[in-house]
Amino acid sequence: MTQPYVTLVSRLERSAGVLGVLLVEVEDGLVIAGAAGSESTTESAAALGSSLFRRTRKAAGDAGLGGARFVRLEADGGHLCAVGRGEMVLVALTDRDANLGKLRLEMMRAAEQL
Amino acid sequence: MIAGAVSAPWLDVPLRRFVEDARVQRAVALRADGKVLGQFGFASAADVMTACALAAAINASGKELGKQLGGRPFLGLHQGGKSQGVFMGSCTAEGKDFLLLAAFDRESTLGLVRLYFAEFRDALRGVSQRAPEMEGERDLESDLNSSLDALFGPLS
Repeated sequence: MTQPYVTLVSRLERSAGVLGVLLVEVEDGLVIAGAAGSESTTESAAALGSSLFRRTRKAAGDAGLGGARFVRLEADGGHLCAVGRGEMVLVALTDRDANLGKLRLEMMRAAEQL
Repeated sequence: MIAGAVSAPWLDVPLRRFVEDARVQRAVALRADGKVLGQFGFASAADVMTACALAAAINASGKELGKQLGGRPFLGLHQGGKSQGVFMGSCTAEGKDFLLLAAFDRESTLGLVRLYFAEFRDALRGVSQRAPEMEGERDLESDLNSSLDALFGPLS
């Protein structure tokens, strides 16, 4: 049942600079498919990535900007990108050298398949 | 800031931090027998008493069920609702088992609660101060009453 999700996540993981990709249940913040390092790192990334996406989406809605589609957090060591679709959110962790434009496009396409 | 109180000083910082980080509405730390150690967000002693009695009972049955089904007790429990969820997890400090019961709404998620519960559990593991001793022959009710008195003052 989760095989299509695993395939989708694996495809994104092959992008240059991507450290891990997770498909997360947006309301629970729990992992559906994918990994980002150790189990605890994966769970942290899932919980925090989905929380960031939910809060940004709410803030965008409250500000009258409509629904947030793509969220990117820039940190010292890399980026966290998240794209949502329905009850799921795709979260990708990248290093600083990742091609973010290409990754964004791939993530948006992947989200349409969810 | 959510109001609360703890009767075990070593619990104050980790519990307060858990409540703030996980953005839960209410949390109570208790011993497996139902004795209250600290709470945040509860309005009355009666609410805490009810929550602790139920949590202790759920933990006892969940533990037993876990043993029967898989040979090991469950470590955590979650009940999700439409707008609210409840999480209960067990942890250890100074060789004694504790339970943390937390209620959260859509401001938080199960993932966040689990994440910060893991930090809470790790913080308690590092507690060097001696955890309060069980008071021998006292029963559940007197334990509950004394700890509730410490948290809320005597019931009038």
